Amino acid sequence: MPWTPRKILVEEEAAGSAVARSVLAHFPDSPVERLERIKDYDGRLGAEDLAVARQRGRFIKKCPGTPAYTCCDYYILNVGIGCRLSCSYCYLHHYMNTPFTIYSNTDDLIAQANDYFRKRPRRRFRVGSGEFIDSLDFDEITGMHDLLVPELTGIPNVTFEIKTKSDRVDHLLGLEHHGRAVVSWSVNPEIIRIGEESLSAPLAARLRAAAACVAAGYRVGFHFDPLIYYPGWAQDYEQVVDEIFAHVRPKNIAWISLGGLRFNPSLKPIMEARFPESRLTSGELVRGLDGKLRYFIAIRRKMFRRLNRAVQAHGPNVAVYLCMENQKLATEVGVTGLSS
Amino acid sequence: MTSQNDNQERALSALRNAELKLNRNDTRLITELLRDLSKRDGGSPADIIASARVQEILADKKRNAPQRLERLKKLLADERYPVYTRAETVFWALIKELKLHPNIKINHCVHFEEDSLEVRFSYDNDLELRRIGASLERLAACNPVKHALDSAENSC
Repeated sequence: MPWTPRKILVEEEAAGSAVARSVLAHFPDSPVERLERIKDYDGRLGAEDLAVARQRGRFIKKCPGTPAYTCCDYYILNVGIGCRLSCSYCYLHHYMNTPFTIYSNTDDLIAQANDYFRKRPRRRFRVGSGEFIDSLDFDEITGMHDLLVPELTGIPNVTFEIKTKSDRVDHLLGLEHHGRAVVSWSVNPEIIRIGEESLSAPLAARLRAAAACVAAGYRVGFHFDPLIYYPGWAQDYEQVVDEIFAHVRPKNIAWISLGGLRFNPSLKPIMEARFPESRLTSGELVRGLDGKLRYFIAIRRKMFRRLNRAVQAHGPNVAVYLCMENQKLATEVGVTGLSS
Repeated sequence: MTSQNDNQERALSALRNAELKLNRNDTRLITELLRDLSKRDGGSPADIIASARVQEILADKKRNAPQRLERLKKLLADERYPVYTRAETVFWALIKELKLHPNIKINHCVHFEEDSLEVRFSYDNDLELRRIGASLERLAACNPVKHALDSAENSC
């Protein structure tokens, strides 16, 4: 993807890091500014800019979930913020005045992870780096997962998830992953990808990447999230399910999640302004218990039930779970949930 | 964007010409409903206002302006949220069929997100309480939220 930052900002404390060196080497033509703290920058910043900063808080956070709905007990590895894919529905559009930010102090990240997870050896943790970024979006620039995969999967009670819409997985294939890494893709029918996720890799490319990861010993995951309700959705999504199982055997799938489109109401005008051709905001979205807009529950039930049935037809033992829904709905639509 | 705004303004202007008095909340609600409907179905907000179903409401001389406005808002909301409307319709039809005691007031959870029901009642004497109890037993046996959601799910 030909993308060059308008400006690179490097915090003084991050300047000597491997991440900063790699970023600067990758974008030799971008103007660089060094400063004490990114937040002190006196000027306009946006998604066209790239910042290399020091993470001064915790790298590891429990997924906050959403009020009134069941949390799947997921942990987030906060390695940066921002995404070049700019999917129409992404909550990151709330942060338009924030540069893409990559945290440089990876040694601290590894230390925090070892400290946090090894101190709780009786618990099993699902940890992912793809919450505030696409896990692999900046990997070819930072090499972040070359480091994270061997280190985090070396912790016996951690399953590390690399979540992406990319097909650029070659650098992962030779890494030591101890059988505890899951490379996962969010998936949608091509008509949705083209309209709403146009900068992401085509589904076929993602599935070829998934097959390559399986061949390298990884387990893989798929997130039907956000599910989009539109005329013809059922056939299109079932076709996606068929294509997944044409590329990957059920035993190699760690999990499949289902989650309906949902977003904060304040995102609606942003989506309408930035993506005037998108029809997502005109879907039958109502306020849920958490105040977010989400499809009316009967629509979600129908979509979850149908998708779950399609998955189970191929792999009855594949773990399927709902993202940010309640247990009652999960039971109603027959999803098994995660076993751990 | 400008032509979109112009179109919205034409639609609102047509409503004002029909002597509907729109306060700020009405204006915001109707604008959003029209925008969402035209985005979903194609056509413009002005086309929706010019449609026979809307014009029938606007021309209804048997109703006063506030009543016509309420009918218009309901029509647009029903069209904007057809599956939810289906659930609402089935739910209240079932409640009506149950012929519950008039002292019982019922409401479902917002947008049926939970299957709980809010039930309020008052009574003056033991006999009335027993009748209310019998009504509540019928309500419990009916499970109107489940029926409403099943029907809505089957409709989409």
